[in-house]
Amino acid sequence: MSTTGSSVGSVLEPLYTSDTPVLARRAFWGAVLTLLTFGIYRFWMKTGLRQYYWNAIRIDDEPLEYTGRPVELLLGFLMAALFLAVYLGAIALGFPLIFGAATEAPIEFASGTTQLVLVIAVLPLLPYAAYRSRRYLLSRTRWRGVRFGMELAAWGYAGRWMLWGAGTVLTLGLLRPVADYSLQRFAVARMRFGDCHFQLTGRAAPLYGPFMVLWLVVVGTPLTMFAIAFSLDVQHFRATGITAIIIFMPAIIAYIHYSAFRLRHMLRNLMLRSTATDEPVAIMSALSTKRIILIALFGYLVIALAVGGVGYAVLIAADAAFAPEGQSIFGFPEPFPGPDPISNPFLAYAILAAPYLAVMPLLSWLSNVLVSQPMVREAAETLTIRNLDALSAAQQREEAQETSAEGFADALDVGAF
Amino acid sequence: MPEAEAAIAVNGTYFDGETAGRRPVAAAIEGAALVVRGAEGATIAEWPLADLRRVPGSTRSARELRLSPGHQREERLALSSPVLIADLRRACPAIDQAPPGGRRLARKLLLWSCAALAAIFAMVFVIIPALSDQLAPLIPPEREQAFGRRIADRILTNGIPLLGVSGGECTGEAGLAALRKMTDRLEPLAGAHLPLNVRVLDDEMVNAFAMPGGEIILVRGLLQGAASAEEVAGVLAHEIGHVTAYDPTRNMLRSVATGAVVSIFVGDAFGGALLVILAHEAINASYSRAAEAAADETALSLLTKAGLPAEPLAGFFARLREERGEDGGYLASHPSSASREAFFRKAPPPEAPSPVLNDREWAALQQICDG
Repeated sequence: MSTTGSSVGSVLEPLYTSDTPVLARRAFWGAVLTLLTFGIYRFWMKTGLRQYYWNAIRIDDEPLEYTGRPVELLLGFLMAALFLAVYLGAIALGFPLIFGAATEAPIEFASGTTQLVLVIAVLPLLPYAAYRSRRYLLSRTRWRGVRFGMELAAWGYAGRWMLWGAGTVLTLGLLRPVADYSLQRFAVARMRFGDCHFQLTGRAAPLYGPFMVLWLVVVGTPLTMFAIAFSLDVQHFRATGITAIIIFMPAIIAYIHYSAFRLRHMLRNLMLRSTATDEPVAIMSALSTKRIILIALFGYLVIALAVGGVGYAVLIAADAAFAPEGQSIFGFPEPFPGPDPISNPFLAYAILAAPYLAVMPLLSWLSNVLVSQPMVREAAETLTIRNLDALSAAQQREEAQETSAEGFADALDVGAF
Repeated sequence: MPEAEAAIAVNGTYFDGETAGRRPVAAAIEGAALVVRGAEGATIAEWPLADLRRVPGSTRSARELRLSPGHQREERLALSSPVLIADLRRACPAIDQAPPGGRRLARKLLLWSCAALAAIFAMVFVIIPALSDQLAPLIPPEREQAFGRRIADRILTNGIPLLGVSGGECTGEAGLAALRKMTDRLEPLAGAHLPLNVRVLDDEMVNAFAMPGGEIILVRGLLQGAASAEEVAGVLAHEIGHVTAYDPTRNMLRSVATGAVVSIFVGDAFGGALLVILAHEAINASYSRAAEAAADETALSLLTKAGLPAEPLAGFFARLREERGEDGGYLASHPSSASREAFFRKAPPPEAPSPVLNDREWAALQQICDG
């Protein structure tokens, strides 16, 4: 629970206004164009989807505005990819040549140690990328014409991330909620709306209930697997898809539950403070973890069935249409009697690629409509904002120069929040 | 007084772009401008109609319109009067125009694209091959052997489904003895960094493979189609040439590293897999043409040292050319059969030829898979 000094003033609930056909169209055709352009269109697709989601969230009848440009994303990505190629290439090439020659067994050093060095070299880039990515998103978000923003502290964040990460590893993950909360507090304290400051109050302790459930289930899952494997005939134990899903289901549910609980806890402790009047704007969240779990399970079940079914149907159709007489992608050599396998490798690649091409737009469409949008709606509409009027005095801030945009986050595949 | 108030009926909300305060306003088209007046009647803003733009990403509906007086400006106006919105759309056809790209941004984009392209080319064509060349001979033989053994075992058991090669190892005893005799004649002369392990795969394809760890696989189709044991010895010598040049290990290192770099650039899964495969095939082909030519040279010198004729290998390539037609071009992974035929044809025959296998052993090798 947040503690609000002066909780007088208005109480307000944000609205989520959906226009599902628009979302479905952008998600589907965006994925088609992304495939056709070998991934380049993804920056345009991402921007279009963000404009949609931002515009759908209305606070006091005024929607959020996303002002990011696809070209910024493309440029940032090119810069990050260039940096990574040179940086990692230099380490991979230079390290064994410089240090390998000085040791007794150069190759042991070159293979094992270089890999370790590469991992260590990439590690601080992950939190750095996540921070810069969040900073970019905020700097391209407006409400009532005023920009959000974030102070520059990506390296400070990365350093703390490394320290907390080491602690988390040493405690077998048990430090995770404390580490996470502390890092969020650091990042949130640097977030701005105009000249107003965000603040994360509260403590990590309440997170430990759901976290311990998750921790025990994650530790317990491999033990269950071994138990099943040994109680059955070990020789004949095969983890088929269904068995694997059943075994991992508790872990998946515990993870979604923890993530939703964590989000609610953080939203409840999120505060905005006006610089001019020091009046707090407090946020309350009634997010239902049960609903989030149901949305995820239902959404992914439908997606798995649809994507699996369509993918398989397209594979069979492509095989029937393009495989030469008497050959098949499903060809079994003896002892299974059946058609011969396809002899032309390029044709085989093409037939295997067909379901992939068909499924990606479908996946993008369904995951936006069935999972992302319901979750954003649930998170937005369960919010209550108290004393929003205090923000009226917020002063505009300069647009931040974010030349690399989210390039590092894109190349390293890390999210902003 | 009631009339004066009716004239400035509130129909929108104005945000000045300097603070987050909201002001109820009355907006109206007057001549070539949109005039925004406060509730008390004072003019707050007067925007030329031609400059008005809908806020990018905002709702495009008849009942709601969010405006700015140009994409670079900070002010916002939210209108909710359908009549005014319809009038504005008529008066300002460019209202839905997206922000322009900007020449400065385009030039920057071009520059970075070129730099990124140059970097990827340097990585893929210079740095990674150089690194693979450096590292391939440095891998400990035991590790290379264990790795190569795993690959070879898998091919012998499962075949190569994508190439339409079925699995099965041929273990005819007399055939294996003949194969050992042939290998023993060439192996001591090659000076490879680890012992060879030559095995036969049961498939009709005419082919042979060298893998890391000195693993060599001859395919049954090659043995049965060959006109003489010397022809098989020639192919074996060629594969030994790959092993002594560390080609399989180098290829493996290169393809792993290239895949990693290309996947950084292509980003996520969208369409990237296909591009990675194509790029990899093209890069591999250009390197392997040189490697094949080098392995041919090694084969010739091995055959000469062993007192074996190169002529039968020339015959092999001649037959290959008749059967498959001339394959070649930029993407071909091997030099043309004709040039390879000529290369082995011009080698002088050995002075004191002694056959690599006798007739009985040759027959046993050809029938190594029957049994």
